Amino acid sequence: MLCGIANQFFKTAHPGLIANKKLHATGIANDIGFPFLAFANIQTLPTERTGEASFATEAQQRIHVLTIVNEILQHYKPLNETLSTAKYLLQTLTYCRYLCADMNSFAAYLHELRKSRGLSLKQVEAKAGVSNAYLSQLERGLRKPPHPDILRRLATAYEVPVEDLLVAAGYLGNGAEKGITREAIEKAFAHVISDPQFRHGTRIKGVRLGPDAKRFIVEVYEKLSGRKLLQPE
Amino acid sequence: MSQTLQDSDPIVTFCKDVVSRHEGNWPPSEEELADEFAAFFSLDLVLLEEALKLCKQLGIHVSFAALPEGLHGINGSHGQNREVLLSAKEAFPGGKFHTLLHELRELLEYTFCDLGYPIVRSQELEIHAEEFASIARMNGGKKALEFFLENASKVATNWKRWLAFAAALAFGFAFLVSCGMHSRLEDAMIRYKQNTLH
Repeated sequence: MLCGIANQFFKTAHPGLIANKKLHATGIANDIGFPFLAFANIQTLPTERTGEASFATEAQQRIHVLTIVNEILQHYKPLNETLSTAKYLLQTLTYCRYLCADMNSFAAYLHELRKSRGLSLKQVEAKAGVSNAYLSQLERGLRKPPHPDILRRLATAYEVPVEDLLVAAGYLGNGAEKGITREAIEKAFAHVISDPQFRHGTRIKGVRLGPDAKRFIVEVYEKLSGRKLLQPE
Repeated sequence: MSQTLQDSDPIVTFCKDVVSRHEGNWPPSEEELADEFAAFFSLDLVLLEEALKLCKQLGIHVSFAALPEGLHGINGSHGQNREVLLSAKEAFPGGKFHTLLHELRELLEYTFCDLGYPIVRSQELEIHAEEFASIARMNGGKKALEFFLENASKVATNWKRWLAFAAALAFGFAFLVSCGMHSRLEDAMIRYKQNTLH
């Protein structure tokens, strides 16, 4: 029963459960349901479940977590039918939802984007030429973020700047790695292009000037003018 | 116009030289400009290394970075300071060289503007810079081809000489086509990616 509930939860949960993190499998198990571990025989879990694991995609991470939870639940027979089990499960699920809501997931972003435009998967397929089955997998986090060319088509279909999708998919840094926000880049770029002493040009093909490119232009300006515009927050 | 142009700046000197020669018949074509650029700085634009050496002489700092996809290069000019940033990864051979020449052309244009002799409107600069880069590379390629053919003619054995001629011509032809078509090849690759990748 518990396995069923847990599976149901994870099926409906935000797909970006644990994004962009190297996870320690035991750590995950502790995070998502410490109370369970008090009773579950963690030692019986396969050794690879308890070692450090890194994941190429969110989907892999999610499957990994699901597997662990299932295994824990299977080992957690003594309190299977008790009220305290339900209480612990509730605590765990609440904590998971908290974790999930906090994640910047590409899959969820894509799903929300489509819903906000009131489009069905088939309508997006017709507009962007991307198969609805593939889109569905993307939205459920079962496939890694697609190639930028597909993102471009989706951006056209959803009428959003392609940079937004590129950033969400992790192709473009949003400056976060340097503690620099996109707004800060835009502000600095606006300053740069308003400086009459500064002239610049780019050789750019097939894409628009996105935040990452603007950041490089700002950095060129900083180097030439000796003025620092982009400061980590 | 706001810039203070210094005669000690080799780019200013070159641009003034071009202006003085073409004043009655302004503007010069990109082909003339590419020829005069190579002649003025006495170099054969065949290899990236030569262009990098020239940039150093001209006081243009060139660096490489992992630029976002589609962005091949950036140039900037602030007062007498000039900078070029090139993509460290290019799909086609000669891509960095082509982009560097493109950026150089844009930097030249800023000086022509400061002198009061713009060659192109700013909206058309991109196209002209592409043309300049292609022509400059082709000119360099032609000189390299002449060198190869000259050496091939010195080969004593008949069949070896013809073989050397054929190899030089095949190489030269491929090189010239790649220089002239560089921009189109890149466009074709973008279209190919857009059409086939799913």
